[in-house]
Amino acid sequence: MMHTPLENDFFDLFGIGRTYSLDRRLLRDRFRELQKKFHPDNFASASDQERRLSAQYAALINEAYTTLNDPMQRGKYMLSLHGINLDEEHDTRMDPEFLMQQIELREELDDAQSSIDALARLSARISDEFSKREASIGEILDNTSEQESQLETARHLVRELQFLIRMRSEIEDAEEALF
Amino acid sequence: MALLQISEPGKSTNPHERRLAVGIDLGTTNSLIATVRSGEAIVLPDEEGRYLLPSVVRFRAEGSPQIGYPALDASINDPMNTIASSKRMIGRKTADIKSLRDKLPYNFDDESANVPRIITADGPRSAIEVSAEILTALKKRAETSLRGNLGGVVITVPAYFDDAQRQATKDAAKLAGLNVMRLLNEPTAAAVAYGLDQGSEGIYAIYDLGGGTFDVSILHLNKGVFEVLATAGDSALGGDDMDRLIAEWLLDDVDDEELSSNSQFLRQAMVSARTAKEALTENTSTIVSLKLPDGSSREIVLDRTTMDEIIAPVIDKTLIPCRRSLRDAGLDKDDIDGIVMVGGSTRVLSVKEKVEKFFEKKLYTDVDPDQVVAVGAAIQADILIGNRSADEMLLLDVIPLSLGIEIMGSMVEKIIPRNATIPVTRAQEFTTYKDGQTAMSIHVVQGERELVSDCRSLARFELRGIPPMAAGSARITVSFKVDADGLLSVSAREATTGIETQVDVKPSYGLTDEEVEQMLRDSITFANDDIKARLLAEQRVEAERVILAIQSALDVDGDKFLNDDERSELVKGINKLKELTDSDNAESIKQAANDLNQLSEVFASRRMDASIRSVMAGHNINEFSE
Repeated sequence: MMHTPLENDFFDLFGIGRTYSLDRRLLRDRFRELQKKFHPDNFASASDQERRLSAQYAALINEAYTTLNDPMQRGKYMLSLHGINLDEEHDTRMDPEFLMQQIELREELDDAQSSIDALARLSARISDEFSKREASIGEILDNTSEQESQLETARHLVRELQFLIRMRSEIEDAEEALF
Repeated sequence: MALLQISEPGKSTNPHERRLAVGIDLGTTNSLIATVRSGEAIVLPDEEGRYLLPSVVRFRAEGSPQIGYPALDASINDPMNTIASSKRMIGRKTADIKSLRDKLPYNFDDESANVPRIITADGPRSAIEVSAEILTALKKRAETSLRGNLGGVVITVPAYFDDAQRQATKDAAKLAGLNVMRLLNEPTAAAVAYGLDQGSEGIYAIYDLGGGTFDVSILHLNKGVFEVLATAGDSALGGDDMDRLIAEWLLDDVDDEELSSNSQFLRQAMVSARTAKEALTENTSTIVSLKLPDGSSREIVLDRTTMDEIIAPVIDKTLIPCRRSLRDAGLDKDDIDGIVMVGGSTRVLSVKEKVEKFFEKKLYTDVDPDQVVAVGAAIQADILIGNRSADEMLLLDVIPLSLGIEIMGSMVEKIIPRNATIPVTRAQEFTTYKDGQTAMSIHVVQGERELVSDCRSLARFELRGIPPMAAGSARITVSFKVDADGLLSVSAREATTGIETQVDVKPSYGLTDEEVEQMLRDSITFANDDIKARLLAEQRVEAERVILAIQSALDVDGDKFLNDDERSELVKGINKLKELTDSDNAESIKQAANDLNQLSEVFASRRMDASIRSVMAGHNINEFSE
């Protein structure tokens, strides 16, 4: 679609190292710096071609930022750089231990539906589980001598993050329903 | 600083001179127009010194429509021909309007029409045409007061407006002959007016309760960048709803059933309700006098406590989007530094009280809540037209509602989630579900729900010519592109054959381009105008814009990125267009401008490429030195 050097790597675009653990403040600063230069507002009186290109660049910068700023998407993206794709629809295999935990969390959510306090406790637990996995993913992806089997572990962890995100959203829905 | 240039007398506009740009707040109840003069944003008054233009249009059997105060005055005696709150109807389909209908006194024509029209003494009129009349009146006001033609406008829309409502607003501007540089979200405009004045940094919630719409946006302000983190709202909730509740309360006392279907009486009750609501921001009690159709009148006492109870459901309803916007931004109330109050309805004391209690934060109310949106729009317009450097300020906005397409089982597959920063491009692959399927119908929807029927249908189009294959083997990529106005275009591409279908999403129930053209021709506003002359003038302005853009790029970077041949090709194209601009042939000017645009493609992409490389190189140097 675009013939720029950036399409290869979002990290290059922001001029930051290709690591899972990253300085989100620096990322945000770089994001703003780039948009200050490429956002269509800067090209309101430019030629049509430049306006078209600026919209494309701005959209790409937004996509890159959204991807790197989100722990799950960042993990997914870094795995894709290793040639590993998360095929959500067809891949239903999961770590049995996590499956058990999933069922347990679901049951807890069902029981907590009508209690703000119980929902808050569950929410805190989800955040905790989320952070743990984020750290493990970082350990694997930022280790320069990572093995294929470890990448497989990272892939599972990212999928678990996806599950936890869905859980979190359901908890928030339940909270909203209580107001 | 560049020297200001003055054009020779009698010559056409010099492109380098300061161009007139305005910001328009097209409100449900009132509209305003503002501009930046000598570095300061000012709201332009009418000849009698009034800033507000009531968003009311009265269509008459004889003579041109009345707009603003005269129409407002006539609204009680001529309610069926006097259209108020057209913003509540714009971009909505018949069914949506019907659900509002018991609140609206008008008669609609053809039920099945794409664009509902209200029957008036001057024929059927759509909400788009009503808004166009209001915009035309504001345009005249600005051109009189600024003594010149407007180069471009920024029109504000509720952040929560969907694609259809945005498109309809743009169509109204087109009818009014305005060059829309940007549709700007109202809360963002308000933040600009506040932020630039006060140099604030931090995270702010903008609570914008107007006459008929409610928005809340969470913004992060930092060094001139206004980044919207999340937005939520209700595009059919506002002060009108408070008035209606108060009117119902007033009418509770009147038991005559005939009255409840008397539209003139109802309109008058709404006006009395509004007057009472406004009086109760100053006083703790007020006397409402209700004129009955038999000529008698009745006086009812309304105190503030009672009113607060009556309107509480409206205010409580605004707190739901407040909660949602915080959640979507991933923030707690504690993270918010302050609340900016916007819109006339935030004058109601219990609104302020409840919002303050909800966020537990300081409210900013120092800029006139009626004017703040127009002022922000004027500042943005001044930047976009090139009078002020864009370095000072950047607005990063989001789309309010998810965009998706219909998949099997009448379910929605979301392609762009709500609160994605715009401009945004996303693509997703789909496949066929039957063997030998050669066409695919693509139904574009907007909304958060899982079922198609619960979302807003935006457009349908077909991708044909897919080679017959086994079910599931075709690879069809559907791409969604949302521009900086929040407007969507969609394209679909089949991978093996490269067949492409592109549509700029025109809402299924919106106006087609042809309809807009036709209205333009029919419209009273331009009855005395020569349409041809107008089109020619538009093409000339556009041609001048293209020439100026490419010429100034050539002056700066021509030597750097083009060889002699490439450069002279481009110069030739510019000269050709310049020559044609003096001709009377709009079509050939348009063609030459398109050709020149095409010709500049390589130049444009080399410049942009170099620009992004230099930014990236700058980062790498930083990294080494850190």
